[in-house]
Amino acid sequence: MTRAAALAAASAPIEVRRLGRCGYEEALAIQEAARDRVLDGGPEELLLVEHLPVITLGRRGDLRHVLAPVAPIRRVNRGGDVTYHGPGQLVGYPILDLGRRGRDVDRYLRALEEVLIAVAGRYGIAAHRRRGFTGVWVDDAKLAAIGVGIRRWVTMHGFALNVADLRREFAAIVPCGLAETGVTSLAQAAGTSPAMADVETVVVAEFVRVFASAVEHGGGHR
Amino acid sequence: MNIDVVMPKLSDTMEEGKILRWLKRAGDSVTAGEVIAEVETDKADMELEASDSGVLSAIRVSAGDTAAVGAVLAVIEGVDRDAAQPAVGARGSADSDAAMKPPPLRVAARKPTAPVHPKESAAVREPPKATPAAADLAREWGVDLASVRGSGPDGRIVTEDVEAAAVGSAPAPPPTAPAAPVVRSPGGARAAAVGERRELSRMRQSIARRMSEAVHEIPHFAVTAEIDMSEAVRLKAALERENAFAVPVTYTHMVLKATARALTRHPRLNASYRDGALEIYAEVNLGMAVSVEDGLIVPVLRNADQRSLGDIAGEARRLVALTKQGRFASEDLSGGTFTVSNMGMLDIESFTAVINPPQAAILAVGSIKQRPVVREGAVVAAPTMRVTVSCDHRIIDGVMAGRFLEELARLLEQPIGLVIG
Repeated sequence: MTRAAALAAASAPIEVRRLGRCGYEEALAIQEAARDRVLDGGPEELLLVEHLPVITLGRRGDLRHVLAPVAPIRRVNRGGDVTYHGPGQLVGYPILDLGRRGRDVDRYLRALEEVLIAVAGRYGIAAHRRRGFTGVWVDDAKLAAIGVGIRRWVTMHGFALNVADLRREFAAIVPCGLAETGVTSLAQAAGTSPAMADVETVVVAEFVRVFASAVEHGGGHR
Repeated sequence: MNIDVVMPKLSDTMEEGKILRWLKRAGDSVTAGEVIAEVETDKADMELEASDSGVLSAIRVSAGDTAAVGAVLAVIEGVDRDAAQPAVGARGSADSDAAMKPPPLRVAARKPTAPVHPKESAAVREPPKATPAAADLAREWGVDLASVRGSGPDGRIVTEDVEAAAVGSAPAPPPTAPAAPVVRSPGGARAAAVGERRELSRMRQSIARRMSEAVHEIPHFAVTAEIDMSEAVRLKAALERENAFAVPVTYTHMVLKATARALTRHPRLNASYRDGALEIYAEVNLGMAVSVEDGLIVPVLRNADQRSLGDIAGEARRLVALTKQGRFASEDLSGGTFTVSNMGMLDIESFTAVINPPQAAILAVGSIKQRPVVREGAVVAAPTMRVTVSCDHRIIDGVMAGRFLEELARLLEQPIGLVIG
């Protein structure tokens, strides 16, 4: 097992909530409420959502990386640069208390990568890390973006896994400022188009494995 | 009592971290639990909070700079809890930062400090119009705070407001121009003096970049036609008289309707050149170039070919209004397949627009004016309008552009078809 195992907290189960398609603002409000609950000692949560189109800028985000306004632009309190969210992409927001999990941000980021690499593997895709570039890659193309915001060791934001072919949407932005790097998706890399619900199930399974907690399905928000 | 704020250790392997930004400035008061800075490591941002109150008296590491774990980033001057009044900040004056609750800092208090009860403030300061973060962002992006409407508590301007304004508005007004230096080159030739220098707003930079790319990459050519608008003028008057539509129909709406229909007959102009291929769109989504202060935003009128004239009028008006207010929604800016740029409200003859990539063509609409036209062998005055279509020569040839304009002219010269069709 990897060092991610050190993150595993043998504590209360993580509650998984599938939000379905959800606007960014609405999901953000749900995230913030979840974070407040975790800050108050509540159970950790994993929110899964498919956003309506939006371009988000991390704190380092540079509007010059937005080539065409294909969607509203929003600045958010996560690490990283510019990215696009929209239908066909599975966004995961783990609201975890790293205070209960060893207080190590780097290990947390690597563990998220491990989850996503394992998910790709289930679809027969050999995904990997790239040293110095947080995220999950297939060859030189980005399969999943990661960006995290932390308050008092409680995480927000998380990962965005491209499920459907999103090349057209991404053409409008320079993902994470990497002008030379392309994006890919499970659909492109696997040559089939997996159903979003199936991908969610696989993500939950791998997430549970890596973060080693039993999971309760807390029911969708809607 | 001074408290050091130090670079936190976010991970076992972390040796240094970067200050992404300060949400407080030297002299600002900080309250318990308030986020004072953001620290970055890799792709995680950690909010650095004050665990108690005081005044941020010095910032030692600036935003964008890196510091070793444990290094002092800033100093917080704690409030003397024995004093009758809360401490006054470094910049304290008439508007002294009272209203703040006393010390210590959870971040890294060097000495443990006893909890202190908040004291009634001597003077309650007017709430600042903008949060420090919003003020910083506004400065960074060149947004004039005076032009931004605050949506935060008590009308405070928050970062989201600045962002909305940055997309939909202008850079700050220029500072008064310094005396222009006269620049002379060694040869005695005289370069033009620079009267003022302004950083471009982010929107302006984005426009600069996209337009440069369009001109560099797309082999443009332009074709102009003059359209007799006599019937369109009559039709518009009739529609107004009859109150035919909920939203008054303008020439712009007629041009949009006619353009959409002409595009369905000449789909080659409703296309993109992509990766060596011609991609013809299945939809006709018209971008409408809308000028905002020092910039341009192009909301998209979707499925324009399937909409009635009245529908187009309503939707176009809605989109333009939202755009001017910076309140457009996700759908509103995406998926354009062809753009119409109308300068008809200005007294210009004609102009040539730069293509809005990845689209392949853009229509530039001039103003309607009385011009001499020849009818049955005689020169008479008639209202005409000049339109110029710029095309991507990689996939459109002159003859295609010409046929498209002929169709457009036909539709506008016999505009009744725009109402009934």
